Amino acid sequence: MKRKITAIFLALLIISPDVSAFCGFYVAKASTDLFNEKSEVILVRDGDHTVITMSNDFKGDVKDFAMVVPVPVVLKESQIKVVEREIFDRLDAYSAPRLVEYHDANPCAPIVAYDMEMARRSNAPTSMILEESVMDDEAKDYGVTIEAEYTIGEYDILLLSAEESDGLETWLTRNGYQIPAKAAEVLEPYILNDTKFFVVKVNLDKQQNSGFDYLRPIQISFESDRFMLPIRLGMANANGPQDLIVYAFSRQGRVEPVNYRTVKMPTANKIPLFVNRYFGEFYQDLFHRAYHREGRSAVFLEYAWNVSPMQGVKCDPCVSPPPVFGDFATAGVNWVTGMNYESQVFFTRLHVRYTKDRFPQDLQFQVTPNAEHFQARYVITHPAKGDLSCDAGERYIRDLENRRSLEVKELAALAGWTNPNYADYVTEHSKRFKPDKYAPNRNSFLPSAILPDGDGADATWLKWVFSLAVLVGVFFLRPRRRRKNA
Amino acid sequence: MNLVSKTTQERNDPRYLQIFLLGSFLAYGLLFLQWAARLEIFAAAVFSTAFTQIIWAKAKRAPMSSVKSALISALGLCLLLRTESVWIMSLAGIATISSKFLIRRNGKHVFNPTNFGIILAILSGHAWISPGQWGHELTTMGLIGLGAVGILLRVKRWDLSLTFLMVLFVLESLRLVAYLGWDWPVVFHRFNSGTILLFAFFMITDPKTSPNSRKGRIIWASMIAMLSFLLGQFFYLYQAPLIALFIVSFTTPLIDKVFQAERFKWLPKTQQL
Repeated sequence: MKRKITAIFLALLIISPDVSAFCGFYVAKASTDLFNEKSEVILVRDGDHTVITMSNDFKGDVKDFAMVVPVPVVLKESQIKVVEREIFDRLDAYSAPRLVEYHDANPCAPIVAYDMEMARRSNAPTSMILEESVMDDEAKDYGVTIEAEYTIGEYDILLLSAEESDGLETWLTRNGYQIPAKAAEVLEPYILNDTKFFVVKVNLDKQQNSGFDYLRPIQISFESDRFMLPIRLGMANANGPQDLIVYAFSRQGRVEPVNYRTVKMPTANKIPLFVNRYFGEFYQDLFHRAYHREGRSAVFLEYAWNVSPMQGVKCDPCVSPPPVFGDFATAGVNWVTGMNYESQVFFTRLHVRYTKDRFPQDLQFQVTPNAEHFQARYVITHPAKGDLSCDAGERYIRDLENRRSLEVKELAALAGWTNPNYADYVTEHSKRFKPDKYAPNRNSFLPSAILPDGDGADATWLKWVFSLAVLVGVFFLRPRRRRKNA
Repeated sequence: MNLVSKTTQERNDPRYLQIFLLGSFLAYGLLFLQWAARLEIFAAAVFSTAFTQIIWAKAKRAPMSSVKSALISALGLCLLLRTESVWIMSLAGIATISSKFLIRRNGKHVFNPTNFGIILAILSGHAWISPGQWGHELTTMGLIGLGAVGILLRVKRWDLSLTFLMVLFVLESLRLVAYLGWDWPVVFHRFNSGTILLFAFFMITDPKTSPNSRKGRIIWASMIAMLSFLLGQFFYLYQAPLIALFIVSFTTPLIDKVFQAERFKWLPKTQQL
């Protein structure tokens, strides 16, 4: 008897829609290009060893580009690298929030078909931008020490230490780096905390020789017990909120901020079919609402997965190929040596939208042993195609209408999208299968079954009703009065 | 003492309030802060602590009312400790309660049980704490603060919370604002954190493991605050307060010897552990 129950339970699991959902197809992704004031960073942490790769979205004249990054130690030349932009594109494509599609089987005659569509995108750059100019050697007068000076790839790099922020500010301004007005007060805490400054500008000759028409990402690596990203300096010249995407790699598990709350993005929500045309906009609005709902002070988890070479499933479904050995090497994940169990890598994608009032502290992180997988994924379902005139087909259309009305509600809840025309989306199939709304509804009251030549099966229910009516009648008409009279 | 007054006294036990408050915080986190509702792990915490407490209480002939303390410890573990493993949580629960019976000095246990369990679990490498999990909403802090007022008036340990928070606030303000030149929101952001408030109001205030005399408690809480400041600011340990409490706990027997006072009892005139 017990065995039988188990069998029924398994059967239920197999026909439940969530299981079939695993063979979904990816159709669109919400790429980071959608967010305007954004920057991207790859963080690798192994013990005290930290590798930070900063993407360079600078789209203006390269001679105007400059960047100041606080770093905990004076970096050696071997600790600074220029890497190819593709690593960011690959990691973004792999881990972006995704739209997946499923196809209902035709309950009358199943047909399967797939189509693919990409999300629309919009572009815009950001960065801490300062003006470039010629350098001079009065550093000492301002309490600024040039600790090291390198030309790496297309960049001229200086490592500065300073005694006070005014001196550093003056020195930078004198040397043509235009410091935003509010930057000086933010420089002070870093200087007093014995932070060094990594100052980058473009070496125009090298840049022309390199043949790249864009600036490649810079990667720095160092040993430090601090695992953080200095976001405060970047806020000095920002007017509104800025988006930061962090791609983090660790040996053990998820990377999470310790001084801000981490919130998972909504996931696995079923949304209307037409959203595949506007998936980019959908994710922007979804993120915007989530950001406000969490008090504008949360860090959002968009992706978390074990991407070790020995790990079987690296995404479900895959938006683009998972990181391979080449990507690990580029990103600075130096402990991955090959197909072995020592090469454990966990990937986390975090999305932060920060403003000065809600993010007063720099982002501090920790590596946790939390290896739970997560992906931000949204589901569209194509209705069944073909002839749906059978009984099961009619039931299917009713279910479809219910499901679509839930999808529309979900869309309103997630992205805040409401539109009276969405009502058509809910009923379009029910309408399509009733072409003439004045067509006589001939089966609804007296079924043809009561006619001598009617279909016996259709009449069954009427027989039951009839029998029941008789029974009820018998009950009410039972001989009571006679007893009273007696 | 007759049966009726015993029941009344039993009802007045502040631990009921504490259980209710910690339970509410957990519910709040699950409902509004998107904490992972890992029921099997919460169950592991409750069963392992309760079971260990019952076994030890039987062995040492301690009263069974101490199971309430075990439940408080279990809720503390659920609120602070994060792990994916039922076993790690169970071990943390067993360690938490066993530390009360095994590591004793002058007739009282040395370590705050929950703190001991959390430190051991973190050392195992399979558990962690998420100081950011409370967010920085004022409603959350208000809830914890109000709860704290309720419980601290009952167990009369507000001197600990106040000393700890004040000393830490002064030190952090001196370093972050006066020395480094950060603006005040940086300091407020650090204190507007559920983890630090929960620690200040509900962990160090455990009347069984804090020093018995008020003078002793003020010194003890100041030491925790100072150590916590040093570990957090110069060693970048985000678990600084927990580690500080663990280390400072070693001095409790000494402080009790120097500043003598009557030991705390949950239920007066009954034998307690």
